[in-house]
Amino acid sequence: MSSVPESPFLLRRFQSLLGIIPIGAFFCEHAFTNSLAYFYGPEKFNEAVEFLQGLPFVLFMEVFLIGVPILLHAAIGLYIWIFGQSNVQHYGYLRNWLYSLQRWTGVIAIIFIVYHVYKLRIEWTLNPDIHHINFEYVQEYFSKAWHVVFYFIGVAASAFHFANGLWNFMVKWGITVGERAQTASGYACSLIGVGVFAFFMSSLYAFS
Amino acid sequence: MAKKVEVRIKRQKDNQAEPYWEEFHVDYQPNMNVITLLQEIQRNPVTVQGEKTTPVAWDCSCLEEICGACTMVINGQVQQSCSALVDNLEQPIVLEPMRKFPIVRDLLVDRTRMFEALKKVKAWIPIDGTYDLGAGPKQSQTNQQEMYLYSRCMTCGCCVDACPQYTPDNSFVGPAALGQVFLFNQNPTGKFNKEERLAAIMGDGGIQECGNAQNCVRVCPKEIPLTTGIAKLNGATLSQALKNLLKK
Repeated sequence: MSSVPESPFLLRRFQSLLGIIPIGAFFCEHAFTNSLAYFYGPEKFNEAVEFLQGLPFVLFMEVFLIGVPILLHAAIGLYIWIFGQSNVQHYGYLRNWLYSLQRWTGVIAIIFIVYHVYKLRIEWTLNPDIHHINFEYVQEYFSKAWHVVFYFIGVAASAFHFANGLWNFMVKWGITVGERAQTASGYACSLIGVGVFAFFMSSLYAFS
Repeated sequence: MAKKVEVRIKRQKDNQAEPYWEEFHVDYQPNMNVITLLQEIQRNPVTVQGEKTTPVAWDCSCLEEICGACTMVINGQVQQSCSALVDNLEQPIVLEPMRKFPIVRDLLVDRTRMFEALKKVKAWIPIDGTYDLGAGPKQSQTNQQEMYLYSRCMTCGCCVDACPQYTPDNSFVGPAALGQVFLFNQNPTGKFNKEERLAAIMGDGGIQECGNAQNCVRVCPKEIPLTTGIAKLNGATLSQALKNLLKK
C-alpha cells in the first residue's frame, strides 16, 4: 500500500461513494419497485419483477453491482466503527447522536440485508419449482408477524443510514462546506430518508 | 459560618494507577475560579472526611484562556479551568482529567500527541534560507479575517477530547491539527508547501478519519469554525489525491 500514499484517504472516499452509487441508488430503485404493489396492485409489481429479472446479465449485475459493493461498504464500515468510540453519554449534541446512530443502523442493516437476501432472493432460486418471486410469495413471507416487525426495523435503519450517509457524503466530498449549507442539506436528506422509508412502508402495507 | 464550595476530584497517582475520588469543602470567596479552588486545596489538602491527603496536581500557565494548559473536564464539560468561574458552576463541582491523553497525575495530562500531530502535518511555514527572501505575497482582507479565526487555536485539546473518532488507541491527528493545515494552506506564503501538508493528511490517521460528529466545533473555547475548515480541506484533499493519482 505504501506505493500509493493516498490509499488510506482514497479507500475511505471509495467507501463513501459506494454508499451512494450503487448502493443508495439501488435502495431507491428497490423502494420504487416495491411501492408499485401499493400504488398499482399485484400485477404491476409482478410485471416489474419479471422485467428486472429479465434484464441481460442480471445475475452478474446483482453480484457485482449490488452484492459486492454492499460487502465492501460493510467491511470498511465495520473497520470505521471499531476505530472510533461513541461518546453520546458525555456530549449529547444532535450531530453526535447521528454519528453514533450511523454506526448502529449500519450494523442493523447488515443483519437485515443478509437475512433478507437469503429469504427473498437465494431461497427461491435454489427451489426448482419456483420460476420467479412474485406478489403471492412475498405475501406468504409477511404472514409471519416477526417478519413484518423485522422488515420495519431493517428498513427504518437502512433509510436512516442512507439519508444520514448522503448528508455525510456531501461533507466528505467537500460539497456542503458552510454551516448554513450543512443545515439545509440536513433537512433535505431527512426528507429523502422519510420519503424512501414511506415508499417501502407502502409496499409493506400492500404485502401484509 | 463561611459559605463552602463543594468539590469532587477524580485523582490518579500515575497513568497505570486506579483512579479514585476525593471530596473537598473550600471556603467561598467572591469571583473564584477553578484554579483558585485548586490553589486553596493545595494550601490545605484535607478531604471532607477530615483526612490529610496529597495536594492535587494540575497544570496552568497564563490564567487568561490563551495558553490552554489548564484544560480539564469540569462538570462533564471539557474547558479551561481558569475561565471556569465557581459562581457559574453547579455544585458539587466535579473535576476530572481530560479523557483522551495519558495521565501524568490527577488532573495533569500529557498532550504530546497533539504536538506530534502538528509536526506530522507540518503546521508551520518554512522561510529559513541563506538570503533575505523579502516580503511575502499580498493577501486580501477577507482571507486575513478568515485565517485569523483559525490562528486563535491554542492546542488546548478540547476538540480532541470531545471527538469520538479520537481515541487513545488510534492515530487520528484530530480537528486542531486539521484546522492548522487549513490555516497554513490559506496563507499566501504557506501555500507553497500546500501539497506536503495535504499529503500528510491523506495517510494513516488523516482527514479521512473525521466522522462529522461535529463535537469539536461545539466545544472549542476559541469558537474556531473547525468543521467548515475540515469541509474545505475535504475538497482540497480530494482534488489533490485525484491529481496525484492521475499525474504521478
